[in-house]
Amino acid sequence: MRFPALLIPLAAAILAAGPLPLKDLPPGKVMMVIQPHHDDHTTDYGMGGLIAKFTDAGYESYFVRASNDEKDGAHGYGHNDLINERESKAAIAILGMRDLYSLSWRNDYMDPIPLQELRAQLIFLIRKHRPDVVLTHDPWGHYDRNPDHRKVARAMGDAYWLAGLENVHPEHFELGVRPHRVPYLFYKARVDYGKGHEPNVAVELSESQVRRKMRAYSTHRNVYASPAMARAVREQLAKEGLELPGLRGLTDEAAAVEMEEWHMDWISRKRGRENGVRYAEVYYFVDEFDHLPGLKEYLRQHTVKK
Amino acid sequence: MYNTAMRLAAALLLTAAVVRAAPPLPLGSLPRGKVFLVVLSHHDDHTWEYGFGGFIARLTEAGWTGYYVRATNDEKDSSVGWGRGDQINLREAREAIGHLGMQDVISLNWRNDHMDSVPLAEVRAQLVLLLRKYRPEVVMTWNPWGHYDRNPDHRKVARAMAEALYQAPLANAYPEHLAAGMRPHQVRQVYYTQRSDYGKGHTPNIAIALEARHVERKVRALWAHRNVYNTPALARQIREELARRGMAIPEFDGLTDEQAIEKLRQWQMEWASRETGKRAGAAYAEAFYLVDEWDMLPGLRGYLKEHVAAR
Repeated sequence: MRFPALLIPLAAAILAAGPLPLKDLPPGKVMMVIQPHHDDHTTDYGMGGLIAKFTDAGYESYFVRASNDEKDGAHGYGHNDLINERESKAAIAILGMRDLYSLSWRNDYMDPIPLQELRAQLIFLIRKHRPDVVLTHDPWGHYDRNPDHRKVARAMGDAYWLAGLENVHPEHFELGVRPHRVPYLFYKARVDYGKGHEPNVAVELSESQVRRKMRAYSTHRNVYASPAMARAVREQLAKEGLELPGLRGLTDEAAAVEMEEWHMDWISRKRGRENGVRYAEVYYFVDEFDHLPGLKEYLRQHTVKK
Repeated sequence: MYNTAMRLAAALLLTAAVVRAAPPLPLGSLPRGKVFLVVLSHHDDHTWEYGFGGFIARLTEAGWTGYYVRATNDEKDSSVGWGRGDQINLREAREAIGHLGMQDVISLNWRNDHMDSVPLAEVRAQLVLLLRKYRPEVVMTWNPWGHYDRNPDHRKVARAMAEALYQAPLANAYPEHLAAGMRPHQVRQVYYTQRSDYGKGHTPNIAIALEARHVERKVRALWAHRNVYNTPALARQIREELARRGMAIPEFDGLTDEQAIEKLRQWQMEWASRETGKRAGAAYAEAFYLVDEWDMLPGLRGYLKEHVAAR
């Protein structure tokens, strides 16, 4: 394993970003996180801290996992699916979320599925839970190299407004749900994936929110914090006459957790530093009136105090 | 439970005016020719605040013949049921293009909001046929670079039209059209637009100046779509919510909810045309991404520019 050698040039390639406006939580009560994979809510590019912030503010929150994650892990398809779902449930509990939905589309194979079928599922869930806020992948993060990310981003881009139209899937109304347009969206894309994703807000996080984000992340032991990784890194360093003093005396498992959680802390501090606070995450935020610029401007120019 | 007007009022009180410094645009001159096609997804796409209405009015005023191609059946747009929605929206689209001086509406009638699953090649073949039949010098359509437009019907028409524009001149594409008496056809200029809030990627490169009379016709064309734009409930909600907050819109005094919403829609159209005008030093304007037929041949253009001399 040539891990350390790889890391040094990588660090130099990370560019400093300009400060973004700090965004408070929008008003509301229900939040949904709609992502392709069991762990997408909680890697270093997003969304664990913001989820914790929402649940701290009393939001009722749900996680929708679109794929079955069968390919992520070394235990065979069926077993991976089961373990990953269990760990995802543990992770969302740490973040204070209420429940997880698995749409269970085949992992890494979402490209050929009909966009309209996935869209219909998302429209239904939006109408059932009536979220004020949705956290999802950025549809403008185009050329994301993960097919499941692309599909969910596109389907959600269509679903959040179509869910508000009474002429769309009227069969849902037989089941007692009503139309619901999602007022606020926070979009995220992996920093290393696709172009097009340009965050427009930063969200400040507390120490405790960052801690929960770190724990939610390393809870996905089937895919992160693997003792074999820690062992390989330590053996390679030893061969080069180097060591990580902070990991002395730790088991491989504890060392792996330490390393994985560190970079969640690091990225949250880095985003904080870039935006003038201690900890932060960054997003592309969309509000419901972005599609009515004329209406917004009319009211701004014509409204007076009585 | 928040309703739209409550949230809108809240958004107004909480946020400062967003001032986006839009870059200046060069003013384009009116193209030369006789026939133009407007190829869009929905009954009202030609005539919203981001749209084409003013440019269409200018062309027809200059003697052009214009046709409107609507790709979907608009069954989902309004609250009168699918079949009736389709019928009313088509009728209102005909009235609207009348205000703009166009000849006819051609409806492809693909299912509204479901164009994602339609085969691209089939829409493209329909559009190639229409290009060869009407032989327009100018086409107005959705920008295929406005990627991830969140409306599936916009995305499909943008892609199909971009392909049709390049295939219509090729004798080997759809030769059955030629057997039916049509000839290949190259469109000279394409004007792309995009909703300002939709997808990234659309960056206008030209503005078309409008006079007040063009804006007035554009407003009339918009208001012809009463099935979707005459929404007195929105005016009522806004007034009730503002009243609850001790505020009001003096312009609405003495107006019915229907008159108020008409005033609001009219203002939006004028405002968008004025704002675009500012970018180009005109009273009113619309902005487009213009592609001409030689943009695909920069080497040929460059060669002629450098080598042609007067004799």
